[in-house]
Amino acid sequence: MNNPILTIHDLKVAFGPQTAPVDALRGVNLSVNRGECLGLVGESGSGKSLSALAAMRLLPSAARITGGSITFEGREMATMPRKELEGLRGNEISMIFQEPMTALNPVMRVGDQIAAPLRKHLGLSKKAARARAIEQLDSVGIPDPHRRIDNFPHEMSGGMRQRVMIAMALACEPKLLIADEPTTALDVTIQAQILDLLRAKQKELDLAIIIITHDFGVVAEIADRVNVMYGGRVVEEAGVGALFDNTQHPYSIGLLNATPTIEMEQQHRLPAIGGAVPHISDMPAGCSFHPRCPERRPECDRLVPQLETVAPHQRVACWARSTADEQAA
Amino acid sequence: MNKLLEVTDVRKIFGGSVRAVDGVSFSLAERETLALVGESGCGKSTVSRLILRLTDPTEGTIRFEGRDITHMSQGALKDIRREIQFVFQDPFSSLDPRMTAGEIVTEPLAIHGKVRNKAERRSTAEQLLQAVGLSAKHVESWPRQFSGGQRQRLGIIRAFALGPRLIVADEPVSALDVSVRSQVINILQDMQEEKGTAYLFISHDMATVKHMADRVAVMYLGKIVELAPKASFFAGPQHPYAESLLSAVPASHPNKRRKRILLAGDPPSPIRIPGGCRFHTRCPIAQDICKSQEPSLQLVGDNHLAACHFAKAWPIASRIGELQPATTTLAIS
Repeated sequence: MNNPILTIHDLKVAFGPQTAPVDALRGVNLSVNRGECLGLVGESGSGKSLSALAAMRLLPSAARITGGSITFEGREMATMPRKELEGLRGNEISMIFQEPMTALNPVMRVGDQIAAPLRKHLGLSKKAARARAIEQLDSVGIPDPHRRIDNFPHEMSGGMRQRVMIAMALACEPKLLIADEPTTALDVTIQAQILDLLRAKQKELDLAIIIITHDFGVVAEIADRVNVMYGGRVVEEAGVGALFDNTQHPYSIGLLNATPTIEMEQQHRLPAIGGAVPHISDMPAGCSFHPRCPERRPECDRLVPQLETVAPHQRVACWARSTADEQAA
Repeated sequence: MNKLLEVTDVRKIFGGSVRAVDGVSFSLAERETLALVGESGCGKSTVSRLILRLTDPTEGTIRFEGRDITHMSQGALKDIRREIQFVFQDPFSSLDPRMTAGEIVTEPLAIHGKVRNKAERRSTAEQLLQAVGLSAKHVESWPRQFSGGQRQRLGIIRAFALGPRLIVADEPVSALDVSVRSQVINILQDMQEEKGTAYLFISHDMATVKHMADRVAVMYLGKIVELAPKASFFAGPQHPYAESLLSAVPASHPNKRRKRILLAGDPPSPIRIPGGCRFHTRCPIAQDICKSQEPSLQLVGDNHLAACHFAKAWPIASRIGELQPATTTLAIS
């Protein structure tokens, strides 16, 4: 069953000067299998978007990879030369973003934007690329694609722009799509349409998807497996069913309990997690979650827990769940 | 129940052609939470701005505690503004970055002459901060030193400072992280219980609405298409738009992925609102009548109103002839 297309191992990313770095990713481990949808869940500052940007080698200029590896189909990406990266991005790995208006070029017709990767990576002629772009628009459910292809992004609604982004990202039939909060800026009815579209494309193209979200509803809808992130690390990794039914990490438990649902019985107070998400420049030592954790133990503020298997296909980084002998530092 | 707020046939037309709010009527009782839900562009935020008198309605009346405030002068409004307060979505842009937390939360008191001197203002600020779980030490802190959830607490204290009877809360928790959102929801509920304040709670998040609201009003293209007590609404929405909105809410568990009523396309522009029922262009059950006749809000259950020719649970089809279109009187609380 395990057939990882992308594996991130002990990835570390820091901001700021080398003399006083601020660690944003502090040893991220995750992998996604061919054709699988991995949900990457976390709150602001957890490092979920940064992990994705690092995997695309699209980190902001102030950030740099300080350790670890990113392997895509056996090729090491963390140190890959720019030229080789360019052959990969938009071709075998694509990414879509939360706000399509800022990710699309506002002064370029959408057809030309979809055609760009087709011409670059597949070497199609202008005419052939345009024909393919129309097919692409049609395949993501844009009505009247022959006319829409000459639209500028501002002439489209938010939902349609997100469809254009997906059409562009999938133009070269990539093996992996990284979707960073693709529905957060959309209304629920449009969100439902986009999630349906992503699911359909996952099946049709045997596409692996990493979907980054803060919303457990999106996870429940689309993910096959889930990684929960906190403070620049993955703290729990599970199949989507196990994450909801056999939640292990106190943070995951807290998050799920704190999320109101429409099926929920009424009129009790929402269980809340105390405190606030720590800022990356002020990350607690040991387990980053320990100041907010209801199950904290003496070792939690000193030692960083590692991901340990607690059930088949489920790993958790928590001293309260650890079976390892407590070795004092 | 006493009507605190009564909104009747209110319209707001921007620039002569954008019908942002197109004939909205509802009332709000003391201590009640009415949720106004709908998608972007449906006019829900414009309704909140009209009630706060941040913008003037083109038509209709707004009454607060029986007084017509629709055209009240800014001077006269000062008294009303003690009674009607607001909490906005974005705690980053709604706090003055050059004021300390203590100044922010006591500003309404100072404006209305409720604190006599600096020392009193400071000690009041400390009490207020502690009431929502912040530390008295935060009096001297600047907004930028707070997290999003903490800033939203400052916004909530400021809203409650003068003991208002109504708070208009426009997406007060949507910008917050999940773990912090529930803290703020709980504070909003505790404050309401303690002070007896009514909320007009504007939201696009059905789960939060179900947790907070007593009644739910669903807006589509500037109109309320369904207005119902919460239990009855969530048990069975009557308007096809409300139903599709609920069915679009993501599952709460992977085993509960369900069949959706997917609406085609996007909502039409409020510049070109379709004739007849404004939802007919996207409605899965639209008939000929829907293209020509606009349905009015009609009683389809206990205190449950829906504006659809085919609202289903009530035997409405058989009564369609006897029901007179009721255009103004929706005050049913």
